Amino acid sequence: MALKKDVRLNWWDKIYLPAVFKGMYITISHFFKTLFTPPSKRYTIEYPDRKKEDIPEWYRGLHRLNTYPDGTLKCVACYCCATACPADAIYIEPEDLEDFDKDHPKEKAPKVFQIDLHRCIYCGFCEEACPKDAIVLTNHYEIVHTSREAGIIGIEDLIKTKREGGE
Amino acid sequence: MMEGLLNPQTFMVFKVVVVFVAVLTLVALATWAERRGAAFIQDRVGPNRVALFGKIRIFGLGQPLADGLKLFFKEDVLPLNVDRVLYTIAPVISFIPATMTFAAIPFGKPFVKNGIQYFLSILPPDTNIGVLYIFALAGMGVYGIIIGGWASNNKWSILGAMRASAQVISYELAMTLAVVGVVISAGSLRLDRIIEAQNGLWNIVPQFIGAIVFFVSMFAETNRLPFDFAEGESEIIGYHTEYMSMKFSMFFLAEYANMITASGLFVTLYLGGWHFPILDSTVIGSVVAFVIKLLFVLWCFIWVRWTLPRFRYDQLMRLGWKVMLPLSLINLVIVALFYAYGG
Amino acid sequence: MQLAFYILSFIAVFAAVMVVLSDRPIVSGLFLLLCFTAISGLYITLSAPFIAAMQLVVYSGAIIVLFLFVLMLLNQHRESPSKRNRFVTFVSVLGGVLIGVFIYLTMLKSKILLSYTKMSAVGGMKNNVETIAGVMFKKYFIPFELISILLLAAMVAAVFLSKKRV
Repeated sequence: MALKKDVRLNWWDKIYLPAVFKGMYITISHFFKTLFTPPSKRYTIEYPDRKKEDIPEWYRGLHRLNTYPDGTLKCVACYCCATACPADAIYIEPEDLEDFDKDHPKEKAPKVFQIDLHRCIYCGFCEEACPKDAIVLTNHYEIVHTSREAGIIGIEDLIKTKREGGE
Repeated sequence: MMEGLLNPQTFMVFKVVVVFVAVLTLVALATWAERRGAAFIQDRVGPNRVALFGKIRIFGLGQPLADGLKLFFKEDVLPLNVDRVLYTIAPVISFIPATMTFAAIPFGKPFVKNGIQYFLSILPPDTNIGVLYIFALAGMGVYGIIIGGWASNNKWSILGAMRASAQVISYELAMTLAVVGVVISAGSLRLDRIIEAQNGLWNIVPQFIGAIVFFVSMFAETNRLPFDFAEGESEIIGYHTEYMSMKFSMFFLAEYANMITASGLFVTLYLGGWHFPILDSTVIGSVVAFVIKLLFVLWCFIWVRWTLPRFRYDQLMRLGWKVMLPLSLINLVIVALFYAYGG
Repeated sequence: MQLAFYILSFIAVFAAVMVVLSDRPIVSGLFLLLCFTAISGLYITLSAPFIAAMQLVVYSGAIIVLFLFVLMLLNQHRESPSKRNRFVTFVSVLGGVLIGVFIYLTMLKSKILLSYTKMSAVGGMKNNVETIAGVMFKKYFIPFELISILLLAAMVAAVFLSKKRV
């Protein structure tokens, strides 16, 4: 349904020029406002020179595999994350643990745990699905590779991902 | 060195080279100012990262250079079934008049040395057709649009070309009639006489209506944003849809060169040319005054572009024929009556 | 100046011939534009810059644009090659040349044609506009105004005829 608004313009509105000058005043005021704002206070964060500091903790960035304090992986290779993953980005090869560990009771551990960062859509479903809190998404967002192969990262890299807020 | 320059032939060559280089540099600067100005008006930052030797950023002034290089080295594809000759010649046709028109504009005070008078405009002003020269060549520019649109073998291109040429023809009338008022008040077609006649009182004050008509028509003639039906970059498609690389950049350069010439003409006709209270006592100062005024009008082009939305086509035609033409006629009648009976 | 004259007149004649020979209406129109532009160059060599500028503004700037407009809107087809036989073509070309020569000879006899150098001396660069204005608005004032009224009447008539309902 087309809405028809009954607009009545008086003579002053009809010559348009006052409205044009008003608009030009607004634009030029924005121009000077931006011109005299120092770059650090502008809306635009000029990325490589300045980085966004206050990334919230719930931000879904680079993945991390959590470990116990002694360095053992929390992951039990249950495939929950790989099943939940809508992008099919997680690849797990499990291995049976013969010697039963008393401190961390688990029967399986991943031999290979790869995440294809080019396929990952950073939805966080793996984090939700994980029963052991082993995989989390941190708030690191600078994920850059120069080849497709480099985008597939394994356990060694995933352990090294820093927690939220540095460390 | 200055003495050597004052040989009339050398001076002529010097003027041509300086003006040509200055106009083309100003074109590059205008594209930069357009993008940065647009960014600042919209609270953005704009292109500021192109650095010389990877180090010196100078506010992104390297951007036009980088753009030019990119366009220069881009692949030039000939679309299917185009008219090869006309397709190639169209950008040239719009570029040549655009760079030629500035020749008539006096950009500084004439000076006398060793008994010879030197004029600071390429076209010798005593040919007596200054204003007409500009209008004649500006009228040629529309052929670049028409031929380009037609030769592209693309229905959107030809529609854009039709829109643009209809618009240019419509506004040329109002523009010319507004200029006739100025010619009457100066009593000459010579641009230097027109500037001299404005000593003390710039034409924009007594011929305010004419100045407004000329200013608005200027936007239509150069196909700039409230009236950019030729390009229509946001949704409708224009005559250079099928153009790329150097051919496109020639259209682009022509648009900005036309803007500069139009600004120069507006300064000459309505803002007193090189006149300025203290500055115009010396030749250099008069050139500086002219350039400052020109840059201001050029900035107005950019400023208005980022303020006003585009007109609809029928609104454009209504404005041109029903508002601008009568207004310019009213202005003409008032000026003619004043100079016939009052002055 | 002589060289410029020869070059420009060659371009003008060549373009005029091409207007007839070209098989695409748009290209014909563009050759007509080239012809008019070359003629305006000829006016400049005759030291009549005002007429040259007027030629550019009126003919090249306005009239050809209208031609092209109409041609673009109407049809974009190539003209089919003419079906006339060779004899008719030969006779028509011969007739055209003969008529041209005849007109030239008549003009030569009636002394309308001035020599090139004589013509360029008539106007003089300096006060072109004033000379023309003096002739138009003083010597031939009444014919000039009558022509204006005739043109106005023709314009009104054209609007009246082309409009369906008045």
